[in-house]
Amino acid sequence: MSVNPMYHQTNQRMEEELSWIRRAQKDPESFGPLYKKYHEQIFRYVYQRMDDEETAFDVTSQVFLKALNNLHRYEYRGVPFSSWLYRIAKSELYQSFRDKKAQRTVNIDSFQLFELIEEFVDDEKEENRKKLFKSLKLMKEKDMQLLEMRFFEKRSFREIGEILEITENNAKVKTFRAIEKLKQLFNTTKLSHGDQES
Amino acid sequence: MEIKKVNLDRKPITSEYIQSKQDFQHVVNAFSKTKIPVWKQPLFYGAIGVASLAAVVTSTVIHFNNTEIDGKTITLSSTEKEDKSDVKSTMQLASVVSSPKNQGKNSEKSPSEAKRNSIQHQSVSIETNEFERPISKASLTSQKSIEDESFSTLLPNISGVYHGDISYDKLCSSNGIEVKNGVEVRSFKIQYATGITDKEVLIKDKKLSEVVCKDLEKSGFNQMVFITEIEAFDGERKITLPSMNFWVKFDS
Repeated sequence: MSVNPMYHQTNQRMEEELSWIRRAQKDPESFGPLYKKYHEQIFRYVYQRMDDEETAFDVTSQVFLKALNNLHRYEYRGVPFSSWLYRIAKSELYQSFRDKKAQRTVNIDSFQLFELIEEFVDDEKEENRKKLFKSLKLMKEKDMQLLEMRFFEKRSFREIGEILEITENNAKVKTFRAIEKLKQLFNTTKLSHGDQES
Repeated sequence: MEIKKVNLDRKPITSEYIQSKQDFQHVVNAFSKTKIPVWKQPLFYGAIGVASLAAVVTSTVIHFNNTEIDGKTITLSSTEKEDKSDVKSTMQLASVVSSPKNQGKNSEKSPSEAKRNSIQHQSVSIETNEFERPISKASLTSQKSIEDESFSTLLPNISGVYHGDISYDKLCSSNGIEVKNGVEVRSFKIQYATGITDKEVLIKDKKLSEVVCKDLEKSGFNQMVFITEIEAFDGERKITLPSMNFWVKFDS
């Protein structure tokens, strides 16, 4: 599994980032470098979970606006600034779902699907693919976000832990349980006549 | 949160496209619009509130210090009118007017009694605010000179007692209220207890009336008597003298 180089930074880069934050806490215009650095990854995080591109850009802007508004409360705790941004993004994302500005979507590509099906069965038949789609829709949100971060976004357990404010080990355990639940759903799900046609 | 849709192989978005959509200025503008003005912040009202409270407390303390300081500062104010203009003057005297005899007595009294008496003569004021005739420039000059006089010359007394203990005999058998420098008392009010109710009597003389003395004698108990609104004439000038409080005693 690949490692997100933007997330795992050297101490030097972390210190540089901290100096940007300190400056931005005094002058909002100095928030620019942080915005440039994290805009893309926050947008991808948001867009991964919804269908509409424009809404994803709006939510991303809202995330940075909220970050700027609350920057005076930010305290460095030895984790990258992006963890804090992801938490804001998660909150804004769910708010957009509640406000019905966007609908919760799972975006997956064929390779990721193949990897996931491999966890459950040996062959990647069309029927299994449809069964997995149906099972994913039945997953609970808290389990789904673990699967998304681990399998679709290729995040490390450490990063998942920091975003969800849990320990690395806890992230591992929870992700394992989420896969087990998906497997259970996959094995119990039966395709209806309509599912098979679609 | 219900998952509504699962997309397979959605068209990917390039980094260049995402970067082209970056608009930091929009975020900064939105931030400056959402920023709460200082005067709308709760902290601002807290600071204003504390400052106002401090101002009120300070002014109250200053006012209190000017009027009542342990019975040793007496504020004397006189107001007069001439040609629709007000002349106000205030003079402060640094000595308390109290006879050594009474001070000696106070030291022998119980603490609560001594405290009560000290409270009674903490503040004394003289006000001249009613003038029936226009005042000439000459009388204004004389008024100013009066203000410069020692306060003690304007203090009323009965048999040399201004406040504190006085025997019933002294109160009723003396020449009444006397003032130095030829100031003549014309009327005053006296408040006393008859045993059933409190009474207030206006006396148009400088002496206590027989009725009042009989009431006091009938009651037969030591009591506090208040003599207020003492109006006197200093030549042609009408003045109001400081009130007097007496602890009338029958047993001495």
